[in-house]
Amino acid sequence: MTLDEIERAVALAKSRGLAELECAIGQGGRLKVIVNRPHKPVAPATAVALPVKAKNAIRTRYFGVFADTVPPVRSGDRVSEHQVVGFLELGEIRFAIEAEKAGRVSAKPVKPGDLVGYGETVFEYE
Amino acid sequence: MIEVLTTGAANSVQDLGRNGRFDIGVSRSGAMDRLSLMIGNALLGNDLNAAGLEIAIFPFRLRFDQPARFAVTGAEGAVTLAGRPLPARWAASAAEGETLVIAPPDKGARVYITFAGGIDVEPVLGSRATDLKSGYGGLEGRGLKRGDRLNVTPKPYMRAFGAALDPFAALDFANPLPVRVVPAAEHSVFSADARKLFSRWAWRVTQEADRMGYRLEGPELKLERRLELMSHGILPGTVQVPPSGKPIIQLADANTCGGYPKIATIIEADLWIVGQAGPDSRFLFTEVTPDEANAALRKQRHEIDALARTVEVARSLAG
Repeated sequence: MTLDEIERAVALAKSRGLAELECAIGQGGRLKVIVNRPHKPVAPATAVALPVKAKNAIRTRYFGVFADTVPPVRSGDRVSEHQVVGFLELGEIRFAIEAEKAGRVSAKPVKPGDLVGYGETVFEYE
Repeated sequence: MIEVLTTGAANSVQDLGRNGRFDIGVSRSGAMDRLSLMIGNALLGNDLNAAGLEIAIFPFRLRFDQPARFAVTGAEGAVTLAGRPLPARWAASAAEGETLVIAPPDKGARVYITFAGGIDVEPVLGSRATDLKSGYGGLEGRGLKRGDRLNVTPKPYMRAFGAALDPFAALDFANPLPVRVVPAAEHSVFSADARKLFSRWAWRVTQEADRMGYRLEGPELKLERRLELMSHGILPGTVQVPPSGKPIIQLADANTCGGYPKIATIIEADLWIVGQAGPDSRFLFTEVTPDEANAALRKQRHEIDALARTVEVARSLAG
């Protein structure tokens, strides 16, 4: 089971509007994906309200607790391509959130300690 | 293989040390900050005792002659791989030909570089640690020099990740560092004033500070009465007071016995703080009971074990 396969499973569950997906993997293993659906449809609303900003957003590739870099990247800061702009902590380990391209941060909708889900926007930039 | 491009002779191969041979006069050696070495090994799925590099002289540069997986832990500062900055407490993959550069740290004194699979040097008396004082273990019993080549296990690329566990978060090196101690055998022989001063004074680390021990600067600690001691066993963490009245902390490469009276022993769970404190750092000693010392060590080991377990899951995801 690779991370990409899990990501595909999550995307599949989301695209089909499934709250839960369970399948057999590998040697007798099982994968269970539970999509926590917000009470209101946040993602489509964001996409409609901010169609331009959406493509300049840094989205998470994991779920976890957001943590700042040292020093933190703030709204108004310039970031370079592949710069680590924050972390997602999963228990004892942390993954880097990287800027896919250079730009200036225009919004940071998360703060340290926030639980963020898969594919959530943590930075918007221009 | 990795090749050392820039180094100082005080940089060396270290694991957790040569334990259990004090009776034949063999010092423990091993990492001065064992906690950071263990975090580095845990991040790679290594045995926690695997050998890594202890870097105390900067800048340090090495080149990977093959793809490898490594982690950088301990003192925090600018670390780059092929020019790209790496976050603190980070495990990453290096491609063939890439150079890792460790700049002088902003916080702490010693950086640890660990490699997935460890460093393949011949164990001496059950350990790969370099005993710089006696000249054995590690790489030919000496510190690293330019052009040294070390055998590490080739590893394919894996996504980078780091440790959320951050022992440095609580440390402010501009202020006295809190270090817990238990009273040692001759504690009660020191005058009441000396005992009071010992736990209230912010003891400054002098320039005489290396892997053998640190001499501290502060007021003179006087004995209540004259003592004639036979030489006795000492450990990394033992705080002795020589006739000058200025304490000495015995550390990794310390002799295994000595005759000065011992006022305290730094608890194992806090010994890494001493290893990360360079000259002019200050310590504030707080007395705890042996039970509290053991509980602190258990808590620390529990955190490392939890990190190692999470890494197992992350490796299966990131692989």
